[in-house]
Formats: sequence, C-alpha cells, structure tokens
Amino acid sequence: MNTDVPMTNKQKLVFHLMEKGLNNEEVARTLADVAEAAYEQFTTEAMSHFTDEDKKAIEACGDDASADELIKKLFSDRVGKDASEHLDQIVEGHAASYLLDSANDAGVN
Amino acid sequence: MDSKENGGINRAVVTPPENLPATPLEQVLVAPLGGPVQVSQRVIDDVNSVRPLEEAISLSVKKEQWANSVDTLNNSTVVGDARAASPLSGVPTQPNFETSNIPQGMVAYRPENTGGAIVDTSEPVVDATGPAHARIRKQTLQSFSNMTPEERVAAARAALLRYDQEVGMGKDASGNDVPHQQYKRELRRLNQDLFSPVVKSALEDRNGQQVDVSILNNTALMKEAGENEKLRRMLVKESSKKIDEVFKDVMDAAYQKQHVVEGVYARAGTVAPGDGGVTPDWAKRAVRTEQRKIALGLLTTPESSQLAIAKAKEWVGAQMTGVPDVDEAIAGKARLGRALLRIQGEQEKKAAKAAVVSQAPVVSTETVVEAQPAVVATSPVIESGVFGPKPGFPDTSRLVEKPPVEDVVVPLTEPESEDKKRRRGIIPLFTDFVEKSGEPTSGAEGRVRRYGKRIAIGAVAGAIAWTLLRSGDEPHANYNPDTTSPDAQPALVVEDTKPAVPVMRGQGFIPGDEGGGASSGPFSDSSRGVVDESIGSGQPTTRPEASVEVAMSTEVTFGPGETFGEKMFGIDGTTEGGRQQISERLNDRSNLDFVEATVLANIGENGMATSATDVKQIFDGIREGTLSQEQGWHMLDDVLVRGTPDKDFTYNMPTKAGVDALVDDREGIYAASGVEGANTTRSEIPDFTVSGADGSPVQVTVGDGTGGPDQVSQEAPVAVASDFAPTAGDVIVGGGAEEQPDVVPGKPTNKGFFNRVSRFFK
Repeated sequence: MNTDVPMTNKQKLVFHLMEKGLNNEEVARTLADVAEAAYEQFTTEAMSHFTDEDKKAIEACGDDASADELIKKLFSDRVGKDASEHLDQIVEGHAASYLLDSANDAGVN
Repeated sequence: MDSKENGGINRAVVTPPENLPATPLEQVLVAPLGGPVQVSQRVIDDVNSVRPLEEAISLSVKKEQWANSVDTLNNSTVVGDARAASPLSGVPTQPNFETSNIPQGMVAYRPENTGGAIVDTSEPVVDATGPAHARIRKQTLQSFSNMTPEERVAAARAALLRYDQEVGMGKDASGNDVPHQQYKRELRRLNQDLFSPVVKSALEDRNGQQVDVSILNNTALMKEAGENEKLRRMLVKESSKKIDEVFKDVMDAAYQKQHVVEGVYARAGTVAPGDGGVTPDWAKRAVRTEQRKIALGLLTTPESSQLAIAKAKEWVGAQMTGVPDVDEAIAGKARLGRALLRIQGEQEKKAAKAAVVSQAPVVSTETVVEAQPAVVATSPVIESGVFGPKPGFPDTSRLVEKPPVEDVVVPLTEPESEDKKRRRGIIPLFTDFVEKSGEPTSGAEGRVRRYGKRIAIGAVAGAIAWTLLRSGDEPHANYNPDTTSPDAQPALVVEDTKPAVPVMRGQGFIPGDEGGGASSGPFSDSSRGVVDESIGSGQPTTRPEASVEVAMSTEVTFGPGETFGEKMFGIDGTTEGGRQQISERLNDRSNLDFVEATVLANIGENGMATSATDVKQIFDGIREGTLSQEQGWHMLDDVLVRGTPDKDFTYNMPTKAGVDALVDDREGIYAASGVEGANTTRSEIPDFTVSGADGSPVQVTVGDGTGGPDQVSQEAPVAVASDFAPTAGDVIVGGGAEEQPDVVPGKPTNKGFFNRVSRFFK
C-alpha cells in the first residue's frame, strides 16, 4: 500500500506513539485516555440535550442494543448529528490534541 | 525588555502579557559578576506596591521576605553567570534563558528567587528548610486563616506562580538542583496540596449558612422516610438539590484550580521573544502537562472528589447514605462534574494553545504549520469512519464489484522484528485496559456512557488495528514488491482452499448492526451481536447469505510497485483518488479478507511454522460467526506473537460442528460463565464438557491466553458430575476452576451460546 494514504488523527497518534518508543502499556493507556475523554465528552453532551422523557425512555429499554438504537436516534433528533460520526470526530479531536501537544513539546525541545 | 543603568545595577523588566498585570514577579535584576549586589529603591517600591495578583498573599509575609531579601542581597556577591549554564558555577542551568539583553559577565536573578541559587548568601533569605513546595504550601496555608474563599484561591494561584518561578529556575529553596521530573512532581503535589484545602474550605464556608441540613439530619424523619415512600422521594429530591449546590461549589473550586494552572501556563507560554524568556522550556512543558491533565479530568484529584462526595453525603444526611437514589445521584453528579470539567478544560486548552502557538517563541514555524491543522482540519478519512461505512461511502456490498483476484503470492523478506511483535500485543492489552476501566453506571447516563464508550473504544481500537496492519503492509517493512528482485522469493502461497467465503450482509459485520464503533469492530463488545444470537435461542442457526466473494481465497501475484490494497481491491493506487478509495476500504472493518491476507503475509515473513490453515480457520470462524472478532484477535495474537501453536491445538476455537451439535441437540441450553464480571484470567477457566442429548460430548475448550495451547492441555478439564444432565432451558452458571457447573433450571436467555462463552475471555 502506498504510504501517503491520508490517515486519521487516531492513526497518526498510534504511529506517533510507536515511533516515540512508548511501550505497549503506555500506548494503550494513552489511547484509552483518548477514548475515555471522548466518551465522557459525548456522554455529557448527550445528557445535556436529552430531556427527562428521553432519559426515562432510554432507561426503559429492555436491552443495551435497543437502548443504543434509541440513544442514536435521540442524539440525532436532539443534537442534529449522527452519534457515531460525532463521537468519532470527538475522538479525532482528542487525538489531534495529543498530537498538537506532542508537537509543541517537540518545538520547545 | 526594559534595561537601564541604575546605581551600577542593570535592571530589566520583562513585559508581561497583556492579559496579566505587571508585577514584581517579572522583574529581573542584573548585577556584575563578582560585584556587589544592590537592590534599587525602585524595585523595593515596586514590591511595596504589589499588584492585585499578589494581594491574596499576605502582604506582611511578602514584604518581610522581600526585606530580608534586600538585606541579604545587598551583602551578597554574585558568583555565577547565567549563561555559564553550569551547575558547578552555582548557577542553575537554564535551557532557554534569554540573555541577549544581559551584558557579558552579568547574572540575572529574580527577587523571588531568594533561595541562594544565584547569589552567594550567607544565610537563607526565607525558610529554606524542606522542599520548596512544602515551604510555599506552608506559607500559603498559614495565610489562609484570615482569607475569604476567593482570596484563598487567589493565594493558591499566586503561590503556584511563585513556585513556578522559584523552583522553575532550576533550584529548590535549599539551592539543590531540581530535576525536571521532580519539578513536575512537586508542582503537581503543590497543586493538589493547595487545592484540597481550597475545595474543603469552599465547602465548609457554606456549611450551616446557605445549606440547611437540619431536616435531613433528623433521624426520626429519616426513619419515617424509610417507611414512607412518598416522603422518602421528597427527601431524595431535596437531597438532590443539596447535592447540586455542593457540586457547584466543588466545580467552582475546580474551575478556579484549572485557571490557576492555566494562568501559569499562559504566563509561561506567552513570554514574547526577546523579553527574557525567564521561564525555562521544561517548566512550560510541565505546566502544559498539568493543563492537559486538568483538561482530561485527571487532576480532579481522587482526594478532592472523595472529599466532595463525603461532604455531600454529610450534607444530605448521613442517614441517607446507602439509599441507592442518593448514592447514585452523588456519584452521577461527580461524574458529570468531572466530564464537564474535562470539556471545559479541553476547550480552554485549545484556546490557550492557539494563543501559545501564535505567540510562543519556542514553537517553530514548521511545527505550527504542521500542528495547527490537526486542531481544525477534518481528515477525509474521518468521514468514512474507522469501522463500517458511513453515509456517502461504500458499504460492503460494493465489494461485489471487485474483480476477482486470482493469485496471492506473499514474498518473504525479513523476519518480523521484536518491536513489531511487541506492537501487535497492543491489541489485547488495549482491549483489556479499556474494558476494565469503565465505570459502572446505571440509568440513562450509564447507557449513554456505555454507548459512547463502545464507539469511542472501537474508533481508537480500529485505529490501532489499522495502524498495525498498515505498518505491516508497508513495502519496506513486509514485502518486496519488486518481484524481479532475487530477494523477493515467494515464501507463502495461499492455496485456493475456499473459493468463496461468505461475508455477512449488512453495513457492519453484525447482522442488523449499522456498523461503526466498537459494536462492529474487532474489539467489539462480545456481549453484543457478534454472534448470531439466534444460536441457542431455539431459532434456526441460519447465517446471513453471502453477499460477496472475497478475494483471499486465491493467489495474487504482486507486480513491481503493486500493493496489497491495489491487488485486494482492484483499485489503481497510483492516483490520489485510488489511494483514497483504498484507504476507505482499509477502514472498512468488514474487509476481513484483506486483514487475513496481511496476517498471512506476516506469518510468512516470520518464518513461523504457524500454518495458513490455522489462520484461515480463525478468520473463517470470524466470518461465520462462530468466533467473535475479539476472540479472533486474541487467538491471532497468540499465534503471531507468542509462538507457534501445536498443530492440533483447539484453544479458543470451538468448531462450528460443535456449536451446531450443541444448538441442535440441546436447544435452549446455554453455557454461561460463572465468572462473568470477575477478574478472571483465561488460565483460571477450565475446560468443561457438556453432554448433548444424544450422549455425545460437546466440548468447549478455552485457552489460557498466555502460554499457548500447552498450558491448556495441562489443565485438567473440570469433571462434570455424573448427574449433570442439563435439559432444555437450563442455564449453566457454574464453571469456575474449583467448582462444578451448576444448573439453574428454566432460565433461558435470548443470548447466544457463544455470547455466553465469549465472556470467558474477559
């Protein structure tokens, strides 16, 4: 494969961490930070838009799968964005933030 | 920098950023090397007219310190040159000390840096005993007693600034070198030390004043409430209001805390070029690290969180603790508060970074140009998602359009490096880590959190998988596309053993799943839909009909310059558009055939004895749903990283026939793990055998995941009691290492057999 295929920030981050020589646990921890920060942000954003009725409906779902579908729909209705895409972009943003931090650190070295 | 002669002393004042007041903290004194130090009256006057930034600190303390400093300094001799940057000279090494405006032979120091780092003092100017952070903390806390909460926050802020400058010079108050890492640790500790009492005081100041807890502390009332649901709900509702108030205070304090460090950060990062650069670069990085941690909520210390929660419980009444509604409300508020702080931190961090990028002299133009787009730009690949097609992008059905690829010849070049093997280990490690890091939640927030978690983890994990595969796909790393080269000897020819491998219809790998996120990723939550849930539910074990024919089944010969992506997808990779399409396909998780090809290529390169058949069996298991992708990745990891498995190993891979037998013969019987949710490693999970209705054993063997199949074979399967005779509808809930499977009659679930079995892997 050509090496100049555009990469997402997430992918860039993985490469970057590897190139920095981080060990597995450090890479995993960093990426877990990214994921955690992303879903924390998503959770807060979603919960701030959902109404009490929405929350009750989510809680009333019989299983996680149906709850996921409802959350997806409600998020789209209330926020006007596709939940998966939006969260993916949040992850991208956090990954970009890490990369920028790293770039800044490199810049001052 | 303003520099002028003043009684034999050059005095320079670093111009502060516009958003920060000019304070004596920015002043730099310059004195001739070897000469006497004299402090100008103007500097003393400046100190006596401290600006609002320092007002929170006790003026008396500060003036006293300064007076001591003046006395000491006036009798001191300069012993070092800032530019000497040699610890031997007694001058701290200052990596980025701006000396352009300081004459040769002069040294610079700040009035605050009175610990003797630069000047040869016969006596300490301030109490220099103990670590600097402890001293500053002590001084600051002492002055807390007569301060309002706002003043305390400001005092803490000023103390941090002072610490940044004092210790940031490279010496602690005792004159010892302060390594960067130590500086970071001490700054963090100081931050926590200072703000725990800030948070605490903020809470205590409101106690008994704005929050009346007398009713909630009424034991009799609470006792009654326990018996009166309506009253209980009312009290819970009332408690919730109190909790809101508590956490508002906590968040206010946390917000202030964030701004403290942000202030340090802004101060460190916005010193204009040529204006002294008095803050060492590593100090800036240290502050940025703190800033980042705040943004991520990591600096909302457990101590402060626990304090706030404890206080909240106290306020709503100790009797209320243990009431699930209240506990959940408190925990929920805490989580939400932390999340809000993180978002706030992220936003403000970006703003601060933008300012720094535009102003900081330490960031090169090259770096800025490269880094800035990462903040605002959206990569086209984002739109395609990591897993599963997104609107506007091709779904798996487009694979039908691919021309069949005839031959796959994977040249062998060099063995897989240890580093590469190590990288591959990231997959299970990451999965394990994130799976264990989730917070238990309930209610709507918990479900939203889990939903977001699945997608976020999937997105990141997908990036790992993609990256690993990509790193293994780069010509220099894995194969020599130049088939004319004598080095490009084909090492592995994938035989045409399976002309058509079905791929499940649908956007994602999971029937009915829309793709995207972890629910359809290789690290998907194995409790969801990875396996056709009709298995074991009494429904026919039908599979989605094949919608594509994958190319992995036949051989592909690579020509010069050709790549996997081009070959596997039939796309011309020499054009930008083609490369983009390949990228999209790579990001489509359903392209297991490509993944499989890459894995096979790596096996060949490794020279491992692992057979292509073993690998293909794993992928077939994934495709056919008898194996979750998570399980598959674990197995591949074992195969690829941990050595060559025995040819006859069966670990982690029950056969399709076994599944069918179980499903067909024991309809409604489910093998449920008795270790669900526990921290059980695979080595603790025994083999267990379930006898089918016809008496034929159906064995599910679970590997240990650590040492290959040998360890599995060494484990004695748990003997199933002779009277163990599950019947339709029973749920096997036992299976621990030391226990017999138990049978809970009449509790069938709608979960598939392998959804249950897959829990063994967690």
